Amino acid sequence: MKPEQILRRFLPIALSESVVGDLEEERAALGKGRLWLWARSLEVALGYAWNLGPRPERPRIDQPRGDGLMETLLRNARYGVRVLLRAPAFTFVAVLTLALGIGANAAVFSIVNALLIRPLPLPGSDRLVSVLGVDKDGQRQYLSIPDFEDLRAQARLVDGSPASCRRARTSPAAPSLSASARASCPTTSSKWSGCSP
Amino acid sequence: MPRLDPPAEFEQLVLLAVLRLGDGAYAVPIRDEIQTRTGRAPARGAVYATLERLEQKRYLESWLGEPVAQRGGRPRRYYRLRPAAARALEESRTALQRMWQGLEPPVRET
Repeated sequence: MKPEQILRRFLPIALSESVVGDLEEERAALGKGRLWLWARSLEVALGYAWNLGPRPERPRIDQPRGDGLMETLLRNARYGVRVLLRAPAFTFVAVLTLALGIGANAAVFSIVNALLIRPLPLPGSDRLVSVLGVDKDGQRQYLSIPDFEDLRAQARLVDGSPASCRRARTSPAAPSLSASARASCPTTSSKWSGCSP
Repeated sequence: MPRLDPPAEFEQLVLLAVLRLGDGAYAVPIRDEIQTRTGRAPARGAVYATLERLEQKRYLESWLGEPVAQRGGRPRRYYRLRPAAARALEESRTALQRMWQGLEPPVRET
């Protein structure tokens, strides 16, 4: 950072120009180098900030406060764009980082939303229950169609009983249940969803 | 006319330096003048801040001179006392003189 830039950052612009001139004049008179100028600029900037400089007058009540319609905001936005354009490599890395971060977040949220947050596309999905049977070994299993028909006929607390059907597994561990479920899956009835022959 | 804040001690030194230097009063000789006469070397930043504050208080007025090659073509900012500063300095001096009446240095603790 040049001495002029240091001073412009801390001092009013109208003053900083003459201060730079003062320091240049002193440097020439003393025969000092650029390092001296840099150090004195820093000293002046810090000394000025320490002494707070002129205190702004209190705004009168009848005077409008602040700037016009978001002038400061727009000025800062323009400055930000200029800074980014001056450093294209940094801008590229920053934009890429943001894009990857936002993309990853959006992907994770889509999954979480679909699985956990969004309700099922059914009326009264918060009252939906899943009914499974238990085989003789205490393992949870899907109901056979006759068991399901019996449950639907006898249940008093269940309001409507749609069913889904799965393809039977041919596991040797549960041959009878698998056979039963497979045999029970109708091939043409529209009241079973997810069934396929 | 609203009454201005009386100048503080360092502000008085700066005002007096400006008064002494006349038309050639800008920051560099102002600081030198204070250093020569008081033996204190004020920080450059403090001098600039005080000059700005005195201008804000309407004790000083400033203007830019011609560009000077020795300064990289930058102009000097010259300062001049306004009437309020002269009055404030006289009032401060009078007040101090009255307080000193009947006392002679060296001052001993009472």
